[in-house]
Amino acid sequence: MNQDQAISQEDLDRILPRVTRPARYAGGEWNSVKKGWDSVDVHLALIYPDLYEVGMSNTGLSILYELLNDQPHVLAERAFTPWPDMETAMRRVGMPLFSLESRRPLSQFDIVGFSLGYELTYTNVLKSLDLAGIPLLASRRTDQDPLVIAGGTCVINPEPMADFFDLFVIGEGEEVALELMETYRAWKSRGDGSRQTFLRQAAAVPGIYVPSLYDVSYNPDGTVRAITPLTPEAPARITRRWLRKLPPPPVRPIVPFMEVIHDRAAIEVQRGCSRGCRFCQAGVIYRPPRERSMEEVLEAAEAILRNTGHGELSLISLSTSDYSQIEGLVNELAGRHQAEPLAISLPSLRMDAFSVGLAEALQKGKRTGLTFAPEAGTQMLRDSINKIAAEEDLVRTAESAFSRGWRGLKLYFMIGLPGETDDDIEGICRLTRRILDIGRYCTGHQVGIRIGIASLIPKPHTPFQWAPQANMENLEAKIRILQQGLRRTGVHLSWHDPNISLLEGVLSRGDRRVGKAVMRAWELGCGFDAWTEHFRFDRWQQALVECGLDPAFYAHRERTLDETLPWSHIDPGVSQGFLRREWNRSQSGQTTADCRSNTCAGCGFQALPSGCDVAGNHNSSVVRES
Amino acid sequence: MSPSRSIRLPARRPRASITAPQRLLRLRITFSRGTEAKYCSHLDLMRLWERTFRRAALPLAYSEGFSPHPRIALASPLPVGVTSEGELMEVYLRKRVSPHFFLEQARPQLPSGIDISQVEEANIGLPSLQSLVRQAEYRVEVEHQADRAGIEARIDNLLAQTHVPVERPRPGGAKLLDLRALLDQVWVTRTETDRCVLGMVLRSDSHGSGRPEEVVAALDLGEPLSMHRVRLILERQGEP
Repeated sequence: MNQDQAISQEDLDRILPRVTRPARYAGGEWNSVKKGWDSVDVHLALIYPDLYEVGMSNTGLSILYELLNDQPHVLAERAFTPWPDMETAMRRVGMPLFSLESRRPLSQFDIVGFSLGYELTYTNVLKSLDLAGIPLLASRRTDQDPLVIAGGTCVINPEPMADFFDLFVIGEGEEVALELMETYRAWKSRGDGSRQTFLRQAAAVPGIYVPSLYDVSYNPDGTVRAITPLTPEAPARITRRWLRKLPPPPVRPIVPFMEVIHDRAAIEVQRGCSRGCRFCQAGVIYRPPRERSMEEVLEAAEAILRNTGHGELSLISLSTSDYSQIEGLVNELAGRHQAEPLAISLPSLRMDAFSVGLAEALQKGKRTGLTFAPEAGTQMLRDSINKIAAEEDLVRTAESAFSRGWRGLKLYFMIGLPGETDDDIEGICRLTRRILDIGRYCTGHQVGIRIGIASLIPKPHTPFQWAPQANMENLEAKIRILQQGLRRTGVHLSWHDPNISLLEGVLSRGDRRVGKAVMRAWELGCGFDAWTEHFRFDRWQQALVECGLDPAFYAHRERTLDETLPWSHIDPGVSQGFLRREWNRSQSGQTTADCRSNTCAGCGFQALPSGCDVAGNHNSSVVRES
Repeated sequence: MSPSRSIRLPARRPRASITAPQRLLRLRITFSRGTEAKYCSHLDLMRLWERTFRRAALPLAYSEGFSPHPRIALASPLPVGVTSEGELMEVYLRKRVSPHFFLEQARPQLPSGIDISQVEEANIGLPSLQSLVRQAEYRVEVEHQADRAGIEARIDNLLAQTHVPVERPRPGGAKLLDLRALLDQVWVTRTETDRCVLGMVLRSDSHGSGRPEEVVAALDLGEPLSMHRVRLILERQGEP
């Protein structure tokens, strides 16, 4: 592989002036790392299978980019899926998909690693591989092709994409990525050059799943009979990797030329959430909850602002108002940045008066939106999904927002929840009307309420993994109740396309056979499925039919507790017993308390040798609810 | 912030630099944009400078209001895909620093493709930089079988016309304008075997700006291989 195989500036200049936002494909951003190609042993391409501006906002990618480029023997470069106009231009001149740093075709890399954060990017994986000239099916790749791997939240059920990847990295990547690089380096320098040898060695690394080393058999009714390892290196269950202590956060993230979705510096203040909402996959797969100390966050904040020049800092986590030192942290940050304005954003706030105060303090009178997620309209249903929030608290939160000057709120609800009745949907309307009345009372004006409706997509490794996903007629009837109930209130109501939700449901709880449909859908021209202008449900339906698959089997069917689920060989750390118990408690309307404020819920981590130190978090946390 | 639970943030001190404009330092900067950064847009470039100066820990002056912005002004938007060696910008600082110190601080923080060639103090009372721009000079490379006389004949022909209508595509529908009124000079700089380099001076002020690719199209020379802005020409040039 010599230098002249890179795409030349002249070649790029022939096509970039005629595509939208050419900066997506040009690279050269501040803090991007370009190492000498021949100075390292392992060449890794990191790909987020969506547009540049989406992928560049992904936290996982920035963690891995910095971590891997800090290794002297490894180089990590980025690539994203080109928008259709660029894809067309590239195909016209025969230009393969290339990395942004050294502009080399992806086929020249040793390892091509995809980040799978959203099921609707799956066709973009195939689009990207094809554009790179890499065989799509793992079984077709030879020893000369790159190793194609994936990580990210979706791989907690890797089965629908099992045909396309040589291996999956399950769980948090910071440690296992380095172990994998070392395994690869050792194999490359001393091994026999056979891909098969490497894959068997990799399968022995905890958290690595090599799908070709497992056989999946099915029952006559279409459910999975068994998932069986074929070699001794392949463990019967693959454990999700997680870190006992969070390593220092990345402080040299790339600063894009163009505006990206999250155009700011970000520090992850905590990972995991202790609330235990039963629909929430992130709440399970980022367990146990772990915080960074305030000192570490402050130090990282100084460094990241100095290294990027950003004027906005986002303190990210699944529930930032739960960070035990949030008040002190925000005060300290504001105190240290008086000469230069610094905007601090807290992207996920709990619905309580404390959060409203926090938001107010941060904004200095500038009223940007305030968003909360009550999720369900009645107490009974909120209890059943374990979204612990009393109606009076929700109302008080709205009241405190309006009395502090907000003139509008955005509220998120879910429909299609297990056990949901029409009365629960009417409950959304009742709660909304109550909030409207309070708004009028507090402000003397009509307040602007925006309601966002999502339908539940039961996800693997959550207590709802056995639940049926609501079907189209059911969801449409519920939307009609909402439209009816909110008529002439001035409330802005929006909802997700139910077809996109159905597809997401099929792809998230699918088994290995679903991969054929992903392939067929891509062949039929699907791509950028998450973008409504490109989503073609008719083609997906055709693909599923041609592959003999029924979406209802994957989406709308309730599973029995003894069914072998397609993801049952992946061990998320949370025990099956806990998920079953939570599913049962949901059906009887019992809540389970937040494990940080009350007793341990026994999710399974407490029993692991490396344990869970939420108790420690609890001792040092400040009880804030007054 | 009276109710029960709230965060008390220290009140931000009023910035003397903003309330007392006579103490601001106004610097005029000449910079270049090479190939590596040529695909960023005007807004991208604004963001780039803001972040570069913050990394360089330079004492930027900010606008007032709830979302303060650093006071940085680019003389004239540089189109996407065009390189330049003569871009002008001005930045206001809230403390006095020497142009030399400014350059030393900023240089190590510049992304590749961007460089600063000159920093000088500008009179605080001057009108805005944007309002001083009159013309822009470009160097444009086109694909052409070397035929200097032929191209010069086309140029003479174009310049002899009094009105050259062109349609400029816009999001809200194409706009019709007179290219001839925006074109002051165009000449052949040199010819090579398969390409030809043109020079041109185009109008660039509040009444409109000529675009080099429109001139190339009007000369029937296809699409330019590369476009480079040589300099911006200001009113009363040389007296910043």
